[in-house]
Amino acid sequence: MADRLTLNVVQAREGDCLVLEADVAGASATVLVDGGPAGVFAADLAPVLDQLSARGRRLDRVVLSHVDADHVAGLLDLFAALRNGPAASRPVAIAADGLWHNQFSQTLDPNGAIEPRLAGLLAALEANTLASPDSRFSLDGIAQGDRLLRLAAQVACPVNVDFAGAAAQVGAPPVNVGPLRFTVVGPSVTTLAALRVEWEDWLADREAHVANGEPALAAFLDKSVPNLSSIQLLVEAAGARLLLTGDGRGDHLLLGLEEAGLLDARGRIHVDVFKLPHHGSDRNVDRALFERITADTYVVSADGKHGNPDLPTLVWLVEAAAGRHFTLVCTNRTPSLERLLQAFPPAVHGYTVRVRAPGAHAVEVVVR
Amino acid sequence: MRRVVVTTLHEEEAAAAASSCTVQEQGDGVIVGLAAPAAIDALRARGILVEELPDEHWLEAAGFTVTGGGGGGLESFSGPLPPPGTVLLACDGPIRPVWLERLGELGVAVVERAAGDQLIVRVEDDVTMATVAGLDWVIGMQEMLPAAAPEAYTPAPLTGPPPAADEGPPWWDVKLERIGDREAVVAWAGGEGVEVVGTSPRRARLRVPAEKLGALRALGLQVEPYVLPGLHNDLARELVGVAGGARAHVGGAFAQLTGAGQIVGVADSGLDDQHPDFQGRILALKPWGRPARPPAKGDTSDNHGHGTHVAGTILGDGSASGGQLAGVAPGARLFLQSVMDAAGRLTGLPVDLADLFQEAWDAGVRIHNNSWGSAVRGRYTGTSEDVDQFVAEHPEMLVVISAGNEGTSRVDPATRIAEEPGRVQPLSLGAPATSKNALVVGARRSSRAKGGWSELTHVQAFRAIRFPPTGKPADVAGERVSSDSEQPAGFSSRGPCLPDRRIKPDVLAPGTDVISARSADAPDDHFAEIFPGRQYGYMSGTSMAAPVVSGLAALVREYYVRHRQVAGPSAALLKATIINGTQVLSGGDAGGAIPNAHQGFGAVNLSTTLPSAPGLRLAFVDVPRSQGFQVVNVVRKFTFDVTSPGPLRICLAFTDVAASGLQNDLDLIVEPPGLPRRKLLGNPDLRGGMRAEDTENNVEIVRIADAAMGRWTVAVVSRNILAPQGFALVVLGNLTSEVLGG
Repeated sequence: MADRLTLNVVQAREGDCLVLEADVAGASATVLVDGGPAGVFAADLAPVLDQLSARGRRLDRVVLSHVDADHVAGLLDLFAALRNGPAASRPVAIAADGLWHNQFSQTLDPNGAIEPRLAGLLAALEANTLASPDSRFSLDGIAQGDRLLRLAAQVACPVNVDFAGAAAQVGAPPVNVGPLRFTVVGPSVTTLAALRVEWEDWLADREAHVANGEPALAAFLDKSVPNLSSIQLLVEAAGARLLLTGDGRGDHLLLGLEEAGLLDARGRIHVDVFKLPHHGSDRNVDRALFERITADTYVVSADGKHGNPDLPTLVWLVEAAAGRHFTLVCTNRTPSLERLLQAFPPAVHGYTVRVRAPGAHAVEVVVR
Repeated sequence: MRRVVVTTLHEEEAAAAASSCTVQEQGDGVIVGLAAPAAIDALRARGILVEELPDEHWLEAAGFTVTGGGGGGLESFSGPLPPPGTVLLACDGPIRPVWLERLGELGVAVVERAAGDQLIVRVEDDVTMATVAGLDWVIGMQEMLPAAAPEAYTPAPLTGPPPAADEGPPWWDVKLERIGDREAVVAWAGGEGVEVVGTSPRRARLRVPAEKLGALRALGLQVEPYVLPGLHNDLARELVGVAGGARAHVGGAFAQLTGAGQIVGVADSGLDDQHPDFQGRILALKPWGRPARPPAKGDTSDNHGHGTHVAGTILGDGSASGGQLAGVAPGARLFLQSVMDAAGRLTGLPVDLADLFQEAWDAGVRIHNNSWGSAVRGRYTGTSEDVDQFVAEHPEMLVVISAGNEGTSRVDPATRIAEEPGRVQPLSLGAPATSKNALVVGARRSSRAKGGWSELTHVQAFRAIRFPPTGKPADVAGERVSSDSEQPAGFSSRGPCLPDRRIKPDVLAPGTDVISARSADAPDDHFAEIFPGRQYGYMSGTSMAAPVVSGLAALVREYYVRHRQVAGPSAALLKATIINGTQVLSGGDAGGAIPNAHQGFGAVNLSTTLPSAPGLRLAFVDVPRSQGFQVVNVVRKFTFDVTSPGPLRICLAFTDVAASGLQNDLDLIVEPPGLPRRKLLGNPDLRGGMRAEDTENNVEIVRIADAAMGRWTVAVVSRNILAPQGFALVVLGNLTSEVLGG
């Protein structure tokens, strides 16, 4: 059988849901990265998984880049379906052999100091409404991560065994899953330390507001910290490379790639496929990033919600390519994409756009 | 000479007491007076109950200014009188109605009674203060600083489906005490643009931005945060260990019990009224959370799954499972009050819970299940008072409440009472679970070894922040959610209540991995597992434990109504019967001897609640308020004969006047047959405070593993009576008769 490496970009609306499939030199592997927001599992992911199981495949690994609803909800549904078997509201016949998930307590709160403060802060802001402080902001994500871990335990799916139970972060030895070789390029210890300081400062600031009786000023909680601690991966197989970036930030990604020794002498890297971080948000990338990280195929998983992908991101991409041919793969036709096509016609600027066919569960990127 | 209260059960005891004491007050079987230490010892040697009243040393140590009192022989006046305001009075023995009358004449408002013959009163000026200090029955006074209302509660982080988020300012309850308070609060809110959620005669509920809280407090009224209650399961789920085919031995034969003729009220998320297990037994569905907005009808559907699961545990008949997954009382009927709003919050609960209970009462509900609560860490809140008040006014209404799911083994450095690290810590009760007159239910682990969350450890299911692993061999973190049914569930909220350390929960019932009816409208992830066929699902929580007890209460009530010809059994009788039948859990996390803050009075068990074998008989009295204690210091005696050695269980319960601590205090005294006489006191394993008798609880038990044959005497004594007080007394054992001798 000929080598084959594909990335199926599932219709995950405003979120991410990616299926990697490799058959290389007689070995095969299937890996699911993120599950998209609520509704994606039943509508689009489960049918994709049905096709996989019909071909006798199993999920060798499931990766949660970070605990945010548009990445984790579909995985919660998936693991609940695995747990419930035929009794599930949407049964699936596939098995999952391992989960990668960085717990908050492993990455951002190793001393357990932040979470009680966060809980206390939320309680001060809205105590009177909560039987538990699970409801909002990042604690919501923590709770969803916990539920995923609990479901994984219920279906006896081991977590982070490839990292000896520790967090997946830069510096971990590359992990081979069948013919796929994974190198963690984010988060890095440096990034996490910086994020931790940032969050502690933020907490102290909000706590001061609460103490001063200014809860309105404290009522904003930034989700960026968990986002920025996303697991980011460089995947290699059959001589091809894919960069899967969660919702991380471009500068952190470059730092991770550098620490992993993957940048060339000019501080650059070229890959076959680059999944743009954070659904193409222009807050996570800049033009320089696209000069240093180049790809044959750029993948955008977004549906226009929150303006994603932002037009500046797409413009930087085209400008940085400077006529070098590339393919832009999008899960949905968004207003920003339409404007890009008008302002930078592909025929003029030398690129190709592929958008998921209406009604299709995914758009397939054939890498090899 | 010491000041004593002598309680006597026989004429010769009374005579001995009278000749040994200088009698200051003669009750009916009780003497209050002065006695020499040698005389006290002599009385006690004859098996007579002598309790010493506090002296000036005790009072001073307890922070009182000693005022001496009258003939009590105390040194008088040890310091300055308290300033006008709220004052704690130490009284010279059990409180008498004439004292309350005298305070009324002086213009002193009685707020409530406190444990240990104390009164909380409000004294308006120094002159009155001096007059009060001069009363011969006031032996000590101290200023009561207002308990600082917490700014907010910090509940333990929970797991499970997140509750719906709530936007908007925090909720606060303002206590309305005087005429005009309500108008003043509403006017203030109107002027400040503060939302008034609602008012009842006793409180106003507002949503107050933090910057306006100071102005609210400046109105001078008592305020407390209102914690919008959440459902008490969002945690886990399994099979209820109460088999179908419940029965009791009645008049020489076994009678089947199904809860027939009973209507159980359930205030919860809603109901899947198409579920096969409820057909023909739904009396009514009331939309409190999503009321009718014509032309739209009210909505009582259950898109959460909680209410349907709870109702199934109480009275589902197992139609969808060939009877396998029936609830506890499959013959009972359901009156369901949906209190969940469209956003998933329990805003359908009225400002005064009496409105909710009254609707159910009017429909014939006498058992009302409440599997929800606010995480308030053991405080007595307005909702607790609502429950106590309603039951006091409707003594036949048994209100069953889940304890809460805030249990954690994380040690709170701020608390003075703590368990060993690795064990579940005290002080996590919700409200209204802190109420006195309700039957409050915590969760024990089920014995299930597979399914739901049963195979997960506590740290796997609830994370290290709630159950931090300690590395010790006995550590709840490493123990499974289910399987060891001798243990309380790790998440089950623990007592005691603050500030008086009253025991709650009352009982435990299976509450982990409970399988019950699944609402077709609920998402899969609200269940730990879906049962094959999708008609049932697994859930865990004290929410799942409470309905086991509500179902059991329906069986017990059916037993009294149909087989014992009691037209209207009181809530106190049902509560005494169920608590009398508990089994003591032996697990390392169960707190040891009962009652305790972990398992209350133990785990409910039908087979030891009602007569389960020939020879076992249940004898009881159910005394209404009108025929109960009207005054203090009265002994009511009952007798029964034990025909053959065996276990003997005795329980006293009474529905008290609403307020956080006991207002009326009754005590249980048991005298075994034979000489020399001796007395057993209720709750013998609880020994706190100054007196040997229980002064904090309105439930008292005595258990004898192997009761001697012969005539036993049980006495109920009125130790404090602020208002007439009924009670229920239940005896289960190898008795000659189902009737207690008078």
